[in-house]
Amino acid sequence: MSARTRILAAVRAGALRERAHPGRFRPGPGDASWDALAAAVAGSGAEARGPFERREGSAEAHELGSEVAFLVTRWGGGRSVAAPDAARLLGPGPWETVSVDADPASLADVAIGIVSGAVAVAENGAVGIPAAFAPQRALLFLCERLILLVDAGNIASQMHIATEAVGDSLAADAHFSWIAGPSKTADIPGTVVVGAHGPREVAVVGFR
Amino acid sequence: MSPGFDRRAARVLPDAAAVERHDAGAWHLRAQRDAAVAQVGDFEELRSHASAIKAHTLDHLDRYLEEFEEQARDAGAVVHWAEAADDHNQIVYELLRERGVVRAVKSKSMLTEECGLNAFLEARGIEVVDTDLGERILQLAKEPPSHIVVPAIHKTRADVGRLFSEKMGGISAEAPAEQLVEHARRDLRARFLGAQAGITGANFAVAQTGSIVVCTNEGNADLGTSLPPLHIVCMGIEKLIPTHDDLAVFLRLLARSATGQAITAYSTVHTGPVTGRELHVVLVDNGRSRLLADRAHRQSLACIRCGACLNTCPVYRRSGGHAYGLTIPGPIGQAQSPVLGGLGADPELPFASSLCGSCSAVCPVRIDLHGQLLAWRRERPGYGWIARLGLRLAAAAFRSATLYRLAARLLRAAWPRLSRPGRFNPAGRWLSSRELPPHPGPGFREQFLRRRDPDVASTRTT
Ligand code: SF4
Repeated sequence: MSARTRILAAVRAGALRERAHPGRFRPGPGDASWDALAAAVAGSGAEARGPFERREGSAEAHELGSEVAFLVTRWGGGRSVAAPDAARLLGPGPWETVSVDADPASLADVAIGIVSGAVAVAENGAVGIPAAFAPQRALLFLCERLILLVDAGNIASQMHIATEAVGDSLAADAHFSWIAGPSKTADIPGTVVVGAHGPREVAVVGFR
Repeated sequence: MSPGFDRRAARVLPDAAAVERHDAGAWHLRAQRDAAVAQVGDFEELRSHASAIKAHTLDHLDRYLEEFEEQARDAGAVVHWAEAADDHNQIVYELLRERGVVRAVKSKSMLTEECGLNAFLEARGIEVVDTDLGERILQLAKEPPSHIVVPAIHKTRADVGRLFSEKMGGISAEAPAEQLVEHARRDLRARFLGAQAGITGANFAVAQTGSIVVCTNEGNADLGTSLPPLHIVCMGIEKLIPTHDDLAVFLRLLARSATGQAITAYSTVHTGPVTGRELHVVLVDNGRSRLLADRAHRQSLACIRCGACLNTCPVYRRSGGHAYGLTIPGPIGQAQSPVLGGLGADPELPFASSLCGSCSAVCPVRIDLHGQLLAWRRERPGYGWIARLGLRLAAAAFRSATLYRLAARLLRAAWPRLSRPGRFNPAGRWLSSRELPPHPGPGFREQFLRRRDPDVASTRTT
């Protein structure tokens, strides 16, 4: 008998088959406004900016692109790398587009990462990033500073609603990350220090 | 309470100042939890819902394990089953050995602590670096965690400074916390980039899609799984939940209960490996199916390891996690220890509690923690012969009026001696951390007699 068979048999012996699943949780009313999201983003230690107008064309030609270019300059430039979907949203600007089959370690010196999210959650400031939006996942964690682009029309008040909105990627993608604010640690007792491993600063930039 | 508990507590928190600091640190987390919970209008409903999901899942755990395995396999992951700690360690070791891995990074996982994975791998020539800052501190200090969310909560900045300057070098022992974190960041970044495998635990496993969910604030699990080509997940079989809709419920509860954040900075769902990479999941029993079979105590398997019951517990806060002598300290560790704690678990642990119920009041999945401890006390009265003799005598005294009067008189007479600390005081150890109340004065019977007949009473008093 394999370990699997033995464990399942032991678990089956203790499985009472008594209680039914409670069904879907019905959340109370929530606020899915940009302002609610901005407040939660601030609470997570990140900065919310916008929402800005977006148009096709080069970054200088529209508000969103100009704002991101401004942030890149404010944060001191350095190697700035955008994921493919973010690069498409912004148009050409002072950043390179990450190649899907780059060795993740080649991103170790990235100063600023730019990635778009599929949904943002107003109750906690998290931005949901499916694999398609961050094919090089390591970019999200290796960069010193991170810019997350969010469509102001894709804000969910609570996690339940956000989960529903991105259900397909959750089921099909190899990875999906909720990111809320910069990397932080409280492991040296008495203080919260930002920038434990990943980005030291995060900006959530909205657009419409 | 067991002398072992007291002695272990005194080792980590040797003086009143240390106790005070630890108490304040844990209570701060509790206060932040309360503030976060107050922001969520339906938090109590969420708790009930989460509790019902867990109860249902445990009642059908075999089915959810099978569904998880099938879905994970379809997504390209490899699922392994381990009955005991050593089986788990062996599986992980073989996976690493077959791929020639000699350097692995690990993010926080209480399960690998429980199984002693680090020592097992190191003895076989594989370097495992803990990357959660708290766990890294403890790895350098060669100490076990004392909290499930903030593993080095018993340390101070000065402790960490001394440790880093001694063990890592290149930094002053007096450096402020920011510099210490930066120093560790630089050291660990190089290790992430050089690692051949990433090992993580799992906060949840979603049966619906065979997904693994890992939550951290530092982002260490994400670095450890996005750089090396091999990701090994080590998880207990109780981590299963049915659906992603359920996951939303738990993600709303976990960080708020743990640290008072609305959500952890990073919550990543892994479903199968990225193309060209490998994902292995080791499902570990190690006593969990035995706990599941115990109708009275199975509910403690619903724990999502938020640490809220530790932060609020008056005994934990003043004793520190090492006092419990368990991988999982605090009320939840005590509740699980008679089954999961191993043979070495202190049989008196269920007594290290005031039964105030604060743990049950904050638990996001509504485990009746203090009720569990009370039940264990009844089932396994693990206290020593002195306590048993004392209880026998008390029972006898309460049965006989004469004996009761005699005992009351003796105790009143001995009171001044008992309340003096000192080596020859039979209650000395008990009094080392407590005070006896003042002498209660004459009892009801004596007062009654004295009022009725002062002369008679005066001859009987003292
Ligand atoms: S028992 Fe409840 S409060 Fe304690 S760690 Fe587990 S989930 Fe959190």
